[in-house]
Amino acid sequence: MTRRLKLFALCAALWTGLWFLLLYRLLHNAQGPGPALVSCFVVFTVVLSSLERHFKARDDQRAVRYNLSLRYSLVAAAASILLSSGWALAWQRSLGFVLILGTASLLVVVAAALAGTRRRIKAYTKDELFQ
Amino acid sequence: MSRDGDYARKLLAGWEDVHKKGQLTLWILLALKDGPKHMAEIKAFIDRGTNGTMSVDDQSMYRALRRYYETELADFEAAPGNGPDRKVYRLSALGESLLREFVKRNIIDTLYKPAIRSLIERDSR
Repeated sequence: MTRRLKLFALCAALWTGLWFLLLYRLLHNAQGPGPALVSCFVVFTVVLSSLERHFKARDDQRAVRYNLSLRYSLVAAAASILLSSGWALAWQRSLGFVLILGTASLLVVVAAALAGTRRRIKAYTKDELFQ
Repeated sequence: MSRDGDYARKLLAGWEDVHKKGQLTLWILLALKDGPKHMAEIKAFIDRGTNGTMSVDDQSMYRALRRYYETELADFEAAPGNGPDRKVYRLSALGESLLREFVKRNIIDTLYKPAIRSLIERDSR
C-alpha cells in the first residue's frame, strides 16, 4: 500500500467512526430510515468521496503494480458497508443478522474487485494499454 | 482496371487501419529505443519509420506515453524550453527488455525466418 492509500484508509476509518458516534443516539431512537438519516448518509458519502478523490489524485500509480484506483474504491466501499452495518444494527438490534449482511456485502465487493483486476495490468485492460 | 484499383485501395486501407491499431506501442517503444525523445520527436520518428502510413494525433500520443509511464515501460524528465518544460521520454530497463522479447518472439523468430522472409520479399521489390 502506498503512504497516501494508508492515510486514506485511516481517514476513512476515523470519518466512519466519528460519523457513527455522532449519529448513534439519533439512530438508537429511530424506527427506520427517515429523510434526515438518508441526508446524513449522503453527507457521509460526499465527504468520503471527496477524501478519496483528494488522496487518489496525488498518489502515484507507478509506485505499485496493482490497480491503485480500485484499492481506493475498495476502502471507500468497505467504509460505507461498515457504517451501513452500524446503522442497521441500531434498528434491527440483531448482531448476527447485521454481521452476516455486512460480511456478505464485503465479500461481494471484494469478489467483484478481484474479478475486475484479473483482466487488467495495473488500471488498464490489455486493449487499452497496447493499442 | 479502375474499379479493381479503387476496390484494392479500399481493401488495403481497411487492412492497414486495423493493422495499425496494434502497432502504436511497438513504434513508440522503437522510437525511445533510438534515444530519449519528446513527443514531437517521437511522432516524427514514427512518421519517417512508417513512410507516413501511420499518423498519431497529439492526444493519443500523450495518453499512450502516460500509460507507458504509469506501467513503468518509459520514464521521463522535464527539459526546460522557451515555454513550459517539455517531457523528454526514454525507455526504462523494463520497457527495453519487453521490447527485446516482443521483437524476438513476434518479428525475428517469425517474419525473419528465411523461408517466410523470402516469401514476403518475392514479387515485392
